[in-house]
Amino acid sequence: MSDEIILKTKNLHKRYAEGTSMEVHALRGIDIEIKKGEMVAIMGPSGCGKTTLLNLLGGIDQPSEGTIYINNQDINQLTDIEVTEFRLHNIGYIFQLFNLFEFLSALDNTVLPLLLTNITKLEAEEEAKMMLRQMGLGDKIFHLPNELSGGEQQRVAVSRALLMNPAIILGDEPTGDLDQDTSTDIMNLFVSINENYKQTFLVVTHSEHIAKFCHRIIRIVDGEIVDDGKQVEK
Amino acid sequence: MSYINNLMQKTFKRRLGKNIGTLIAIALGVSLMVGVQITITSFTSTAVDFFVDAIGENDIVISGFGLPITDYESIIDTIDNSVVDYAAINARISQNVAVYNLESGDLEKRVSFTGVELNEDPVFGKFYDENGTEMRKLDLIRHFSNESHVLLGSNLIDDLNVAVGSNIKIRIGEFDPIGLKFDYKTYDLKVVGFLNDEGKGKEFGGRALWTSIDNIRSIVGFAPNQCTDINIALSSNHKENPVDNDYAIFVEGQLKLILDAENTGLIIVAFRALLLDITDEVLADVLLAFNLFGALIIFSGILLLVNIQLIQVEDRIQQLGILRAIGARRREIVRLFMVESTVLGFIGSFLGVAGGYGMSAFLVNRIGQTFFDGVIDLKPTVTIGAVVYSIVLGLILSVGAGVFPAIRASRIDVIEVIRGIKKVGRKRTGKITLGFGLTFLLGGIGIFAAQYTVYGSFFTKAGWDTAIEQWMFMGAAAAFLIGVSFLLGYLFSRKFLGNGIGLTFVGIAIAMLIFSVTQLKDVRENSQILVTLAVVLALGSIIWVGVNLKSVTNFFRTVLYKTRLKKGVSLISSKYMTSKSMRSSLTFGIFALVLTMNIFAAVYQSTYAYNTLESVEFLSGGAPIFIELDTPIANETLVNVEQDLYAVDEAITNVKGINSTIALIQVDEEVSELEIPTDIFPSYVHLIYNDTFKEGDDYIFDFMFDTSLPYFFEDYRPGGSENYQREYSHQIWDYYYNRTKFSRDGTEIDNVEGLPTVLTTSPFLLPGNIFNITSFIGTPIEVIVLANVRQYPFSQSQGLPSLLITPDFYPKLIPNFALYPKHTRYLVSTSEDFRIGRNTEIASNIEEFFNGNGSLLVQNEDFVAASAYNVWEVMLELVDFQVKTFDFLQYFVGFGLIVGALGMIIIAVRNVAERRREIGMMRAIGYKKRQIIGTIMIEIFILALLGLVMGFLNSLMLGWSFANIYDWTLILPGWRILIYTGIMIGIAIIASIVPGIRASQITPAEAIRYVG
Repeated sequence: MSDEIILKTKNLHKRYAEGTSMEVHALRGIDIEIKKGEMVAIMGPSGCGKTTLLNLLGGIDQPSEGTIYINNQDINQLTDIEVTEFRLHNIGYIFQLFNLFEFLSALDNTVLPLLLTNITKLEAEEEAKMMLRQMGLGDKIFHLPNELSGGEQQRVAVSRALLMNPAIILGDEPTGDLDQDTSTDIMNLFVSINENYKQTFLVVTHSEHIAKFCHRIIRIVDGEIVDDGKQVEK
Repeated sequence: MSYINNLMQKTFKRRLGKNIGTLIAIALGVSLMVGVQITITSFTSTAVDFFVDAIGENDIVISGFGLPITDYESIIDTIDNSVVDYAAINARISQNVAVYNLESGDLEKRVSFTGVELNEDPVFGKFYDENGTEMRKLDLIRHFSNESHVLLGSNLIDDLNVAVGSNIKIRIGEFDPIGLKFDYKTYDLKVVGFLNDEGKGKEFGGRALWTSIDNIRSIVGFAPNQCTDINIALSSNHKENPVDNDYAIFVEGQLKLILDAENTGLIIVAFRALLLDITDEVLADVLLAFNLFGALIIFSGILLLVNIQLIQVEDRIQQLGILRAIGARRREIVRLFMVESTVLGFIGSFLGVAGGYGMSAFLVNRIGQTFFDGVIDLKPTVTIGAVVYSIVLGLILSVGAGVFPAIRASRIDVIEVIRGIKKVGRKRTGKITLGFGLTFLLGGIGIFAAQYTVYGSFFTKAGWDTAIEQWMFMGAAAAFLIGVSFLLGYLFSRKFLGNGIGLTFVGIAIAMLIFSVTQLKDVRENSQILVTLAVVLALGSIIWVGVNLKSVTNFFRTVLYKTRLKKGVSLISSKYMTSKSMRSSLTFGIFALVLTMNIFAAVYQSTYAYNTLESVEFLSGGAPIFIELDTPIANETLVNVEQDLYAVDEAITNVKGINSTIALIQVDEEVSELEIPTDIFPSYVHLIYNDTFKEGDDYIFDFMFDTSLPYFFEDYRPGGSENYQREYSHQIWDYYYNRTKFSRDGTEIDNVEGLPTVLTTSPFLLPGNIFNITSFIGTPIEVIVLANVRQYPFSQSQGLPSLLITPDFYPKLIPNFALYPKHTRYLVSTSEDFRIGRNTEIASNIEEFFNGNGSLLVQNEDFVAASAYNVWEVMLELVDFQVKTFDFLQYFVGFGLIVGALGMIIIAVRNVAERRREIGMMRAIGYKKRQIIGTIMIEIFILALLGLVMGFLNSLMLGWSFANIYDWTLILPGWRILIYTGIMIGIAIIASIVPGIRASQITPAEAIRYVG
């Protein structure tokens, strides 16, 4: 882990239905700093604002207040096109429900982000195949999601997230749909990637078991950080 | 159970916007079905009423073919005592006359001067005065107290510019009982009253002079026991008690036997049946077009409806899994979807009926404006059958398209459904596929067996021009091949099944194009075959391309990969399309159908216009003006037309007279090729001298032969160059003049006996046909048809066909021919341009020459009613009905276009709404908004492109089939095809941009959590 700050938020607020009687103050002044190569877990009860925070960090939602720096870039200052481009190159997403395109093979699902860049389709597919092989899916690259197990599907999602060599991978309950053994496998995979490639992870979870794999646990209750956990000794 | 009902209500409310979209799409689909049916029914019934209305309740006419019927009372007694059961019978004397208002100078030709018994049965129409008050017998006795007093039909009042009390003059034939001919004289009449447009006032189109039968008998010199017509009504109210055409023709046959028509010379015709038959003939082209386009429009409506219902259900497969997980039984789930589909289908269908009524109200109004110049206020004829049919079809399709996917989905493993996974590698429908395969296979064999039993052959016996035989053979072949496809699908792969079915339909369409269409010659008989072809072609191409969508989209993807920035976009688009092949096929199917309709309409119109109008100048033989006299000029010392006409206009370069008379064609019943409604019919006979057309070796008038009928020379190529056709045409003229004996082996054309040859304009008399012509005062003459000439300019006289005969047997036909050396027709050449020259003005001057107040003929009261026609304008008028049809077709297909476009947009928007989650994922991965728009647009565009290609090819094949029926040259109107293609691309752009933009506005954070 280096000292380089890869992600930093300052006084981050998110309000839904702002100015109405239905207003919900989902995040209330979140300040986080994450270093390059760090593995961070965000924990908290349901509805505490974990996923909202993740969406703001991924640039797929806008904060009501506050700033987010990723790789020293204030992503709130970017236009929609710029933030999308930024997301493509700097952020990898892994969802709880795998979120694979059911009509695309493992290879096609993985290769998608690279196809949005300038490299040729052939090169892109080569890289994706290599990534899938590394994930242990070398014999299933042409399988559709419905032909893969849950764990395998999540590995495809991880491959897709890793392919662009992002600054940070955001995982929204990445093992939430998996049994404990498979969850452990996936988290071991994260750890191995983190150790080998110094890949930064930010994982939202409500599972202590999963959180234990991370260097640091941030706990959120009612939209506020109640504990910016110390470095977990592993 | 209540939770299902509760859920149903909640779901319905939550998805209100989507449900409204579905409702609109179903309503649009059903609107098309209802609208098309009501419009076609309204058009047919209106047109038939329009044509039949003028003849009142008259079913059968007995006439003496120009000569008086003698002893008519005993004829009526004979009928009275026979088995023929009639509602009413009358006797009349009627003659076509020219009417002159000498004060105003107005002349009206072809006015019916009719005398009736004062106690004529009211079934044949009552007399109503101009205020609509029914005239009593006493009124009639008063009106007709003077021999020269007449009542005037409503349409003559303005045309003749007369008032009650006006004096008019007619030129009328007076019968010479010794010479058995009419001598023409002028006679003064006084108008004593007007009729309104009801009862007798609407007979003869309101262009009649009415008097008592005794008055007219005195004027034309008939004996008291003579009349010209006996009319028989078989029903006193045809609207309430219609008379079957076959029955009327049967009665016609009975009367011919009872009255010994063959020897007495009585012409007995089932007039109404004949008129209805002619109406059918006239409407055949129009109805063919309506039915063809109607079938395509209805088909696109069906695709629209099924498509939207599939989207409606497929969107919620996951919900369905959750329901199963919480304990809902399969039947409850199916019930949920069935109730929802039924509600949507029912409401949508009812809205569709309303929409269809609105569509037909507009279209029917356009029919009134287009075809009847707005004189008839038309209302849509709504038949219960059409409404029930459309609602039932709408419901079946909605429920079918909604419930079947739900049934299929309800069988899938619960966990898999929840996770959106489909089980793979299992033959889910194995037994069903096998069952279908065997059923179809046995069904096909069964139909083949039935075909063999009925026709004694597996193949069609009577050729490929009968719809029922074609359907049996094609149906059997289709069932057999589909059965084989199912079995292959069961044994090997589903791809065999899809390809097999698609290729079966495409194969049948191609077989029809090769074997059947080339034999089609009768539009009326073959319209069902063309409609079948259109639907089979569309269905086959949609299924086939749909099954192979993966290969097609792979091709497009490869092309798009070349543009580096479109890689990610094209991957998602193409794979999505392939994964939803059913919906994608339905979508491009709609595009294909809408484009097929529009391009085919343009090809239809252009081909028709080119082949009927473009060739008129060529076929007119150099006679742009044709003159027709109602009687020969009595005193040629006053006017010698062939000399004096040159002074009318300096552009006149040639004038040639032709002798014409009316003769009867008696068809030999053994000539089976003739498909005519009666075996005896009148025709104009024109005497064509060798020098009429030729001066030495030069043709002055060089008429061409009709290429749409079997041609005399076997090696003739229709559609050859003008020089080529002219050369053949000259050979025909040589045969005609030289009366060469000829024989063509293996054909019906055989004149080894050297029968007199005739040329004809009748489409019923084909080369090689042998028949008699008679005038009843001469000897019947047996003749053979040499070739068919174009209808104009030889047949302008009241729609009767013409025969062109050589002078040598004219005297036989009319023994006292020597008494009639005078001409009644003239061909006129001018130096003016055929189309845009002053020929109409010259024709008008010619009429003035004969009929104007300054005319020597008029001044000497030897007037004739002359009509001078600009042939080009007559031709335009002749095709006016068809031109109007095409104008109307534009509205017809326009509805298809609008509804198709709306449907496409709704489907595209709904499609995007169901893919929110995917779009959220794409945004999360890094797809920009424009790339999201691009994904949606490429998808619609590829489908549109497929539709465009298919639509183009299908419309070409249909166009070719249509042109082939008439042996016409197929014309492809490039600009119009481009415009329609452009419109379709425009629709594709709108149908892709609207949902594309909507998609790009979806918030990714919400979208990735979307569950349907």
